[in-house]
Amino acid sequence: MSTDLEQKALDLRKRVISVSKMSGAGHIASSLSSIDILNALYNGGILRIDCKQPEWRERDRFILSKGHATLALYNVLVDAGFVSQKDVDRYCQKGSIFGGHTTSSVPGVECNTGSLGHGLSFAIGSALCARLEKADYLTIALSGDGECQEGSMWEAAMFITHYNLINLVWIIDKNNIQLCGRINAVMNLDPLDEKLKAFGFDVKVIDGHNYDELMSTIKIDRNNLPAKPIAIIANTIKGKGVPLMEDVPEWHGRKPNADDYAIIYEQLRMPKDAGK
Amino acid sequence: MKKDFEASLYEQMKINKKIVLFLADSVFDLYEEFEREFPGRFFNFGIAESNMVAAAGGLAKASGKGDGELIPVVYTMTPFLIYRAYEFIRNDICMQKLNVKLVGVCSGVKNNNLGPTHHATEDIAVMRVLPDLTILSPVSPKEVSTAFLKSLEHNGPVYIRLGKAFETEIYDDAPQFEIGKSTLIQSGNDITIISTGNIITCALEAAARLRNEGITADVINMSTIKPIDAEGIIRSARKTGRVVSVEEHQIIGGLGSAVSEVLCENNIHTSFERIGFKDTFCTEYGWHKDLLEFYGMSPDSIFNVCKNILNK
Repeated sequence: MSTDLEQKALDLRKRVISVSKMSGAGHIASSLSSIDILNALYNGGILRIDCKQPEWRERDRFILSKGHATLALYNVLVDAGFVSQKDVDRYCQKGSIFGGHTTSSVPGVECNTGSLGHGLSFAIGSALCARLEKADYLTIALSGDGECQEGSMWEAAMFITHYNLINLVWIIDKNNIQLCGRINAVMNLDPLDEKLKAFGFDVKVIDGHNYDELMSTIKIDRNNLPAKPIAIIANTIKGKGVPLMEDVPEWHGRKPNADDYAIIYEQLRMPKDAGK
Repeated sequence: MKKDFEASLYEQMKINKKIVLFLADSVFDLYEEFEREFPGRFFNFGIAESNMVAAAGGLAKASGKGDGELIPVVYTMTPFLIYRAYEFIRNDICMQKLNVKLVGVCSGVKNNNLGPTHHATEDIAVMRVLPDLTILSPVSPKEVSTAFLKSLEHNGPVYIRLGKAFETEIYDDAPQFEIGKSTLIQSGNDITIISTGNIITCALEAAARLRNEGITADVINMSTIKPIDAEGIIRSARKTGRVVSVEEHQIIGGLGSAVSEVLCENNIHTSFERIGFKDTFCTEYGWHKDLLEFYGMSPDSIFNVCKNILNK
């Protein structure tokens, strides 16, 4: 399973790059740090979803709170059967529904995110709904680490543990970089694990690029929910898989030029005609 | 209006099992009753309006559309609901057309002595620009419950702007209320006064004084701010040729602006004046009526503005 997912992840990374090249848009490095988490969720069988019924009532709800990682999410939704590669290849083009931040007009996307600090609270509503309706679907929210600088994240964190929302799993893609630079230089968050523990979470720290760890940690038993809400700190590398970008702050929002793409293609061993 | 809304909410939650109540440490008189009657159907988010509003969007989305869908009702003091959580209202509710009811109390300057941080004198302006949002502003206690009921029947985001206490009742019976339709409270020929919320009682007093001088006024209760009843405005403005708007809100962006848009876009040439806060915060203290008087919204002020227009 892990090998299959790793193989799939390599393919996904290439498609993130080719779609970015075709559109000249998107947050590439942030997408590459999240892509293994998304791949595990959608292609590893963690989420209970049905691409034929995107609004199926019993579906697990996944909320991409770091809504700028659409290059990753939309390509993953192709593999999960919700959308076509042909349509995603028109990312950010005139008339396309696939833009730089998530919108719920895309099949399989639960909500509009992009402004940070919204998705975890939106996920709370979803988890409350399941509780009220006595439904067994789970809600999983993926936020960024820089996003945790938003005050609303801590409002949400308080609520989750106060109301013991154990049917909600919060994953933090901890790549340690935000727009202006390294997070610990801009506005330090660490020790994030201790802060989350103090809020009452069962905190799990994993390698966000290791499929064995991702699968075993995120997949919780819906019939035997944990005693405390889970927060998963997934340690990741921004730009993971593309050495040119890996852990380099300036790649948060920078668009590669032709020379950069030549290097990236070389590093990912992509055919030169991909993304034309 | 606060007590009336809470009583109506209580009745509706008894009948309508779909309603889920979200509070933010709100001043709410019925905590114990709700705990007892509706266990698990209301959540206090603490002093955290942003989280509350986004969660309401998430609940509405997860519940889906159709029979059995849950309807989150978000209820707290207007300034904190609207100003603190504005981006959450925009992104998590309106942008996704989710079926959430936002109910704000103590609007305008009903929190007279708590000062301007606790007033809501710009909420109509900032909410009116949000696409797909319906805005209701009931006039009196009896209209509160009708407006709330109608909001529940409407599938989509609704903001209900309420006062607080001691609002004068203007109706004998529960009024007919239709979203998007204004009500002609009294009919006249010489001038049109359009108002929203309980400050309409000041307009009615002014109209009574005008009547003593042989001047008759149309007084229109614009209890839906959005969508605005353009037809009602045009009909009356064409008849009288003089229009005054009265609102416990800034004159910029509020009811008066909405009325002026209708008049201009429909080529209705009238004398026109807006009564409300004139680009100023309400920094005075005193009784609610003292504040209205100080800022030019008392019956006397409205009367004088009308007289000036009539004398032009």
